[in-house]
This record gives sequence, C-alpha cells and structure tokens, in this order.
Amino acid sequence: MFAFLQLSQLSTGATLGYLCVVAGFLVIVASVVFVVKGKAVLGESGAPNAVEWGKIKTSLTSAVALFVLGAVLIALPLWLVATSEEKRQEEESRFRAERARQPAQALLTGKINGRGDKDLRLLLVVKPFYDQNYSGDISWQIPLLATAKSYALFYIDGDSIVGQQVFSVGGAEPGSPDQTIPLPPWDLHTHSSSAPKVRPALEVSDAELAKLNLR
Amino acid sequence: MQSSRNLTFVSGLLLAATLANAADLAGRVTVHSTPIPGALVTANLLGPRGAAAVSVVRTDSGGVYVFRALRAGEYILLVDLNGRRIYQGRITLTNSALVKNIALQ
Repeated sequence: MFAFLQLSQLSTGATLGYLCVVAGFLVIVASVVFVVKGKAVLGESGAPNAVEWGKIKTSLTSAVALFVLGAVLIALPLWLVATSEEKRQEEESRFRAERARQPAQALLTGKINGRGDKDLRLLLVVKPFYDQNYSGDISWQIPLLATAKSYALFYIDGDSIVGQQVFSVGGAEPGSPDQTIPLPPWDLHTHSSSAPKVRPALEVSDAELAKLNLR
Repeated sequence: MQSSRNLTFVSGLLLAATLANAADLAGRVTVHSTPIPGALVTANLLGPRGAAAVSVVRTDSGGVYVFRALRAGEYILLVDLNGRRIYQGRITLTNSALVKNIALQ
C-alpha cells in the first residue's frame, strides 16, 4: 500500500522506470532460482544442456537469455535517466550562453499618479526612444545600452513635460546582472515629487563665480 | 639629542599655530523650515586666484552640515540638491566657530 502511494506521486515515466527495474530483478531472480533449484537434464552426449524444474523445462541458453533480459530491464531506465540528465544540462548551458549574449536589462520601479487618474507618459531619452504609459505602480523592463551609463526619464502629461528624473546604471555590458532602479514617487494630484520645490538663493552671482573660476 | 628636542618644539608650535587659525563651520539647510538631508555643501576658500582650498560635505538626516578645522578666510559657500544649485553665498571665517543656516523658500 505504501509503495503504491509512493508510486502514485511519481510521473508516468518514473513509475514505468521503477516497474521496469522491479521486473528486471524478478526476471533475474527467476532465472537464477530456476538454474539453482532445477534439475540438470543430460543430453545424448552426456553433457547437461537443459534444466528442468517441476513441469518447466528449458535450455541453459534460454536461462542465460532470461538473466540478460533482466539485466537489460534494470539498466534501461538508468541509461534513459542518465541520457535525459545530459540533455537537460546541455539545454541549460545553451540557455546560459544565449543569456550571456543578450544585453543587460534594468527594471525601473516606482509609483506615479496623473491628474484625474489619467496615465502619465514616461519618456526615456536614449536612442531609440522607449516610452510607456503608467498610472500607479511602474514596472518597466528596459534594455540597457552597453555604452550609456546615464539616462534621463521624462514625465509627460498630455503634451507637456511635467517632470524629469536622471538616473545612472552600473555595468551594462552583455551578460551583466539585471538592475532595479527605484524612481522617486511622483504625484500630480498634489503637484509634487519627493524632491522639494526650492527657489534658489544666489547671493553670489554666476558671473562672480565664473570670475573666481568656480561653478 | 638637543636638535631633536628643538625640532619637536618647533613642530608643536607650528601645529598649535595651525589649530589656532582653524575654525569650524556648521549650519542647517532647510526649505520651508523642513530640513534637507543629502544636500551637497561646498566651501571654497578664496585665494588670490580663485579657490585655494575646497571642502565638501553632505547634510545629515537633520539637514545639518559641519566643516571641521577650516582655515580662516573668505569662503564661497555652495549648496547643491539633486544636481541643482540652490544656494550660492559668501562668508568670512575668523578663528572662531561660525554657524551659517541656509533657509530657503
């Protein structure tokens, strides 16, 4: 019962494999028992060429063939498992090699709310441009350019740019790990992002700074 | 032995003189009375030909910046927030500590 319960949790292939191995053992045991317990029947030349056990009588060749059949039944599922494992590893290494050739990706995440719950258009300025419309949670997978370390993301409401966010990425060479870039919250209901609106206080003019070689 | 003692004495005098000319500069950066953490504060000591020495610190979670042991002199103080200049000012640092709060609207 326990064995049956265990078998019922396995796949069809695995179940057949186990049954095959069990059958192989039984066939081997039967052939061995037959040879050991059976009575040798002598041929015309005087050499034993047949084995008789009860009413069953068979040649030695058949008994050996039965033994070999049992061995094959045991070996076959094991060979199939080994072959499939090899194939799986080949597939996996092919997938890894393919993945290493792909450009690295970054996932932009954040939260935005447009006026009147309308979607806000996000414009990422790289060539070619990428753009998506979002309201609420942002989850935007973008391919990174191997040569670009810095990106500017524009928030567009209708035809007007309502915000801009610049972000930098780490390694973007093909095969680099994916990166997640958290964006600051942006809510047009309150007309604010997390960055405070500041009126700069320039007590020293830019021209004066330039004279002092300061920027 | 005597020359070694003299050297130590002179070094001590120089160090004391340097420390005597050094002062701390500190303050708080606020916008609408809210402290601004992470702002980049740059103190440029003015020399005859522009900045003679530059010190940079970031404001802490309370919006406070502190420069330790700055040389006395005239400074241009710059504050940047998220890559944007929000303050440019001039201060004069003497040998005593100075508190310069930057309150923005």
